[in-house]
Amino acid sequence: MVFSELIASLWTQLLVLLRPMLKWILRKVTGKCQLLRITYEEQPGSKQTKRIEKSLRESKSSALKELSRGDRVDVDEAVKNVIHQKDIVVDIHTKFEETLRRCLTYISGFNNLEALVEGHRKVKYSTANPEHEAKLLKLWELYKPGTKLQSRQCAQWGELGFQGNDPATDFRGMGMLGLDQLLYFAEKYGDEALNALSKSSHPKHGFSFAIVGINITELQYTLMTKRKLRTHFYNLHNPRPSMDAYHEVYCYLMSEFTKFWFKEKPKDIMEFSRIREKFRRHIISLLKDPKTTLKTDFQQQ
Amino acid sequence: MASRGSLRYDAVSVLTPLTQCQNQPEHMISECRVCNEIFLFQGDKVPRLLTCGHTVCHQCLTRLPLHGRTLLCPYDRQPTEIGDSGIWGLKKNFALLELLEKLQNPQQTPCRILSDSILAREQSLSVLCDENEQHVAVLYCTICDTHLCIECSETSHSTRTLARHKRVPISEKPKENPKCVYHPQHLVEFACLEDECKCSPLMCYICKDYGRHMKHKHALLETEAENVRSSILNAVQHVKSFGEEVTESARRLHGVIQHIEGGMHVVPATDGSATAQQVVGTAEQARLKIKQYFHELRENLNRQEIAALAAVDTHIREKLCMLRQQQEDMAILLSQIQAVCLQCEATLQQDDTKVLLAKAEVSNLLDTVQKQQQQLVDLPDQLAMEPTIPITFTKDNRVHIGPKIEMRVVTLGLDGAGKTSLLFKLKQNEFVNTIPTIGFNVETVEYKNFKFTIWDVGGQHKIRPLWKHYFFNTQAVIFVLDTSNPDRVQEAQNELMKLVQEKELKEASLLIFANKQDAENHASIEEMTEKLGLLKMCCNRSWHLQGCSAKTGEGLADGLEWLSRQIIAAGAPELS
Repeated sequence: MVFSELIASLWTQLLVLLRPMLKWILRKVTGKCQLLRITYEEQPGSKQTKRIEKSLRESKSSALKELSRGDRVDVDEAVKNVIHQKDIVVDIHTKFEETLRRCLTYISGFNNLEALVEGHRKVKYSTANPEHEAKLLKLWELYKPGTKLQSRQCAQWGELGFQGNDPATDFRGMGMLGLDQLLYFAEKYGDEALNALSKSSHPKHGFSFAIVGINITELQYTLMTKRKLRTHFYNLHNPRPSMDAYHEVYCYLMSEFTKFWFKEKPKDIMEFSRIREKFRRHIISLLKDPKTTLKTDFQQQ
Repeated sequence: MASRGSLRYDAVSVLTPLTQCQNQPEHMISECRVCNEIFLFQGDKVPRLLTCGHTVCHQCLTRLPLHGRTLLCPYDRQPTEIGDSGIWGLKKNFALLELLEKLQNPQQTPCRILSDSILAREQSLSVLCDENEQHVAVLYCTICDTHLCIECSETSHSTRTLARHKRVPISEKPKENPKCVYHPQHLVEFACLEDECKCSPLMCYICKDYGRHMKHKHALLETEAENVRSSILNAVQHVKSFGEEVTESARRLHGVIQHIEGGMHVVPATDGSATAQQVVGTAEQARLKIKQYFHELRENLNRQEIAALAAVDTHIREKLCMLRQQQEDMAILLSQIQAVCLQCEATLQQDDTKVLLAKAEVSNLLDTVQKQQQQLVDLPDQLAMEPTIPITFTKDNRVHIGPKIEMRVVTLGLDGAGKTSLLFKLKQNEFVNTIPTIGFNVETVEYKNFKFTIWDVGGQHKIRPLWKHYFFNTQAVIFVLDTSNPDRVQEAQNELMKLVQEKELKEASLLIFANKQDAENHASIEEMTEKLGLLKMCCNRSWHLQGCSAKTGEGLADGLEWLSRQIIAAGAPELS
């Protein structure tokens, strides 16, 4: 056991040391740089973009490294630079320029989205902000159409699945992102959202809808910051996804989690941590498939 | 009037004893022939005259039967007419009365009655004689209102009528009421009982019937005075008894002081003799007690220190012994390995046939070495390669040496109190804005020689009934309070109350983290203690309120330190 661990760690260290040498050998043998090789080896899709991203990130050149992390990259300029730096003859490798441009657009688009999401999350819910308050009241109207809210702070919020009389305290970790996503779900897919809410209010096997929603926000946020969601976004048509595209994933996750929860037949709410973890692994396993896009039936139109 | 009457009666009694003795022979003359009792000047025994001339006493007359409006004489049965006023209408026998008086009061010689001592007493009053200013008066004539000396009394009262005047010693002179302020010719005789006249209650009969006190409630001066006297008497008695109480208290105080101070006391022995004895005061006793207590404490501590040192010594000796043993084993192993190496090398240098022959032997040897190698690989678990000697003290000052002490802790509290944030701060020393906990989180946190397994259960209202599933085998409960939210203190108190009453948590230590002490409007520790009524709620259990902040991390280590001290003897593994 000890030996196998030792060998594994030695092996990785060795690879790190040998990587430049291997690259150099491959380059001499094939006559192509790594980026060029990837454009030939892979078909357009998430896997190709990911490999390009990885190659850039591990590059010795800081300019190339920057490309893998930047969220506001001037793609045309970057493509020119890479071609110049790597001495690639565009006339011979006709596909390279196009492929690199596409991949860089996706990478930059994703990084941009990540920054957007983070900015959104950092906005704290403030009871002094009339815009926030209006959003909260709208949430009630959307999820409880026809029912009047007795007052801004009351026990009725419990019906929506908030913890106490004032929902504001429940947004502490995810900020306005949590509220916006719950709102988006109900605005875009009203039927689905109300369906999920009514299922969640099962007296015995149900869950607290709103705080589970906030938990799913956090789950998606973690997947995003760990860059697991690249598979999905690199497979989308639009290489520069907006917040709405991000919220679409949330709608998918909410509806899938609701199904997943009832399939697991939990004894009580205390099993939430376990089921949430299982759901997370399930999503990650889905994202390992390079063709995956996280979309469900009601999102296809 | 009553008091004056009694005084007069006394005066008479002073003067009468001699006369009564003198009157003894004439006894028969002054008796009623019907009842054989002596006639008196007034009352039931007054002699009354019937028309027939016979004399019968008043009492006997009342007993005679009435014949219409006439009475029959008990001697000759002659009728006597009786008027509207009845027997009281019949004339007294004045002749007999005068005779009686003459018999009772012969030549009075008061000088003989006053003894020398009384004379001296009266003269000491130094009242001048009204007849002659050279003399000092000793007598007072109640009729003439004069002060007299004995000679002047004799001379001025020598006539028959005057001689009958009653004279008394000056000290017994009847006190006379003063004159009315408004009617100087009249004496004050009454006292007004109305509230408005409290300041001037005295009045004469003119004031009473026609003057200032007309129609006021009133009483006789004497009765009222008597009332006042008796109430003053009562008051005096009361004051006296109060005085006695005070003396008694003082006496007891003295006793208590003596008791405290101690010293020499006289103690009566059984055979009646008293012996002085040295008694130890309570002050000295208390001092002794304290000395004894701390002495025992020191002894105990010394003993515990010795025991702890012994335990550590044993542990070290055993450990060193084991390590040396292993060292020796290693040396033996090393020599074996060298021997095998040597043999192998020797075999290598031999010719082909011998090598083949030695093959079995060599492979046998190599197998043994392989086995030993395997053993060595397995060893590290048993090998105590760690030079540290981890020491923990239990609550009763015993020493626990060895692996980390594990403790199961449950974190509870209202939603949003900061349970999960606290847990993350403890675990990673990092403040995270958490999301609502659904269900629970569980983490192990290491602190000094302790390993806390902390169960952080969600505080949502719906989840609270499920808290009890986490109580089993729990050694400590951490209750987290939000000190920045005064509106929910009541709710928190209710939940805490339920926890305190929980049977399964009876033995568990209760650590209350007053979280969010970094917030601007936070309540202080003292405020929270009072608001929650902790002193009353948590009596009879080990509890601690610790102010803290999950943001800054302040107070957390103190809380864990307190928790680790709560491991009582039963909680720590037994020392060998």
